[in-house]
Amino acid sequence: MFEFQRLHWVASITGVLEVIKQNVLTLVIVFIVGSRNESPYFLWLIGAGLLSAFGLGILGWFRFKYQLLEDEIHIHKGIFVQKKLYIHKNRVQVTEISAGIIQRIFGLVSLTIQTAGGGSERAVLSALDAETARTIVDVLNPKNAEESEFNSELSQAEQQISALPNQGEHSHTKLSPPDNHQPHTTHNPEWTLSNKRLLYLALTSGEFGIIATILGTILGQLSDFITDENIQWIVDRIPLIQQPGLFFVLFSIASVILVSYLLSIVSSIVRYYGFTIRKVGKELHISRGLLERIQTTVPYHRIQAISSTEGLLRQPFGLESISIISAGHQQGQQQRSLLAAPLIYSHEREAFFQQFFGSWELAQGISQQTRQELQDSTQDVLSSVHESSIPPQNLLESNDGHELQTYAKAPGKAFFRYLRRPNYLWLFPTLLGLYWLPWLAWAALLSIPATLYGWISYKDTELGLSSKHLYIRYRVIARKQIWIPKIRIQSIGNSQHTFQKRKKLYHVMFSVVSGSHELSVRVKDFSFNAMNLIMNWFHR
Amino acid sequence: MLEERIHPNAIPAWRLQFALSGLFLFIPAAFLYFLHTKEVVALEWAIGTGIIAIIFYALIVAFLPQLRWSRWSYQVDDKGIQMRRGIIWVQHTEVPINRIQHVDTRQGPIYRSYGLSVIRFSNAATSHEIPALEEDLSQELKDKITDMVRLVKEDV
Repeated sequence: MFEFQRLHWVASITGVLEVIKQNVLTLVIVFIVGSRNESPYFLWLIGAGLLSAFGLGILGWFRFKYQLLEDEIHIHKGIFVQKKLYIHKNRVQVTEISAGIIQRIFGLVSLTIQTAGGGSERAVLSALDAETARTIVDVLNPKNAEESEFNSELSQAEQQISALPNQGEHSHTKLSPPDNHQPHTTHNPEWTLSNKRLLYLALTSGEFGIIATILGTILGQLSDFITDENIQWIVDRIPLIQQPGLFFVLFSIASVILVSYLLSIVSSIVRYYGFTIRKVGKELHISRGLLERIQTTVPYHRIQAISSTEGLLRQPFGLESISIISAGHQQGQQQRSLLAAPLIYSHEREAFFQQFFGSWELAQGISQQTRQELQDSTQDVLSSVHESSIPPQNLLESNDGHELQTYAKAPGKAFFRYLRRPNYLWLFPTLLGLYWLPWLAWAALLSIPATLYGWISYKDTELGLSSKHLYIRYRVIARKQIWIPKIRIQSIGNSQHTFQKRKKLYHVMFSVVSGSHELSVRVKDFSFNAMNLIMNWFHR
Repeated sequence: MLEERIHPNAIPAWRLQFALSGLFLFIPAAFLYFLHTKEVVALEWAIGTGIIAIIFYALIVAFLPQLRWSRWSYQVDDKGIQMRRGIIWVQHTEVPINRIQHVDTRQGPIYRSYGLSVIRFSNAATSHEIPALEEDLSQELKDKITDMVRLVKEDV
């Protein structure tokens, strides 16, 4: 275990595929260009490309060596330039064990180690046997370690909570009870995504817009295929179409949308099939996936924030998704937040938090009663003493299990600013274009949905402060809620535009780390009073 | 306004910077004049664009440095670094000390000739800058902040 070793030889196959995947765009271009001229060079080119892909994949496997030490892992890799990657466990944010189709054939897994920061290298051990992978994860995740250095109060609180007996939260929710039948498992809370929910998730994923765009682009490229004969062939087979021109366009658009919707359903099911989140000591284990089983491990003290999103298609049904924001990320990969619950009823959220994020304050956000009080009062800030859910010894400023929580919303004088703001989006482009295209005046109709959106966002904007956590609800198309521990806030700020000065309104910004980037959350048009309160809360 | 202001030498330094970078404002006029020599557009277009560019250039060089300087202030204490800036958008940012990952200072040729340097604090997500501090002060501040960061135990 403590010497350099290679990965399983299957890594060379995945390496070859990886090289091909990375150059897929070049391949497509070569194919399109190649199919136009019939010279034999084209075949040579393809052959050389495939050969070099094989060479690179196999060499990459040959040069990749790793060594597991007591609390760190050393990786040597690189074909022409040797890269040495040393990752200490104190720097590991998230680990991910996944088993793709190739790995599954050979009964292997792939391990990804994610660290924080912009320049961090992605460390992927692409073919290991499951046992070795588990060992590495255990070494790199400080499960039972003393970790004196970075153990914040937060994770201590977490530890305390996990030691507490789990009260009957399950009776009124659909959350699956912890597995008490196995005597050796000390009671790990677990939540699974049922197949029915998976279907709802797939139906409402809202991803088909993206897929439709891609599909539309591809269709545009297939202009060779769209010839008059082909169109006529389709038209002949669909009896409803009398006018080929217009109906064919409509038909194509409809079929693109339908196909992309089906594709998005399939992709969601493939990705989130068998989703399970489990709390194991000081870690969260998340596993999911149909073809590729992915098991992600997140230590509690690496969680930067938790957010919930109620998409436009989901909010009417009272559904939302909860995700974990962490600093771990893979270089060159699009940041996709780590889902803690892909689809959950909003009324189950509190119980879910109780199970997995017990020490997080403001878990219920702002209660309906408090919200009503806040609406009714003339003030836009409200403080109340709350019964703390945490044993008092964990709180810095506890007083007999009670703590002060403060809520704020956008004041009434900001109402019309909220209504106006979305309207600028269509107004300015329209005014510019009106001179040339008078029919753009119809865009004025957009003021109705825009104003409505402004009204909803005004109602949705709220903020809560407790001694250790910050809670914000805001709307960017979808309604979002985010919980940030105070110690995870990277920076806080406010800004005031000249036009806001008269009404003494401020935007307030908070930022947390999300992957290699900054996630900046902004609440708009808060009063001076609220802004001051927030800044003081942070500075305290 | 916060306690500290940036060094007054920032005004001439920025003026020089703006005087140089502001030359880009004349590119449209030059391009239109070039089009005029090819007999594509009338000379008036080039002259009009040129006059607008001159007005903007003059305003930027004459007033902007002073205005920007007067709106910049900052404050460093044991909790964090606060910065306040902006003419139309007044921004106030606070970066807590315990989130700072590293601090660096930087100096271009213009700043060097005025004895100034920029100090930049990076946290895990992004970075913030205080422009135009006196060289010694920025070194001092850098050391001070680095020392404070060293005492912090939490990570990311």
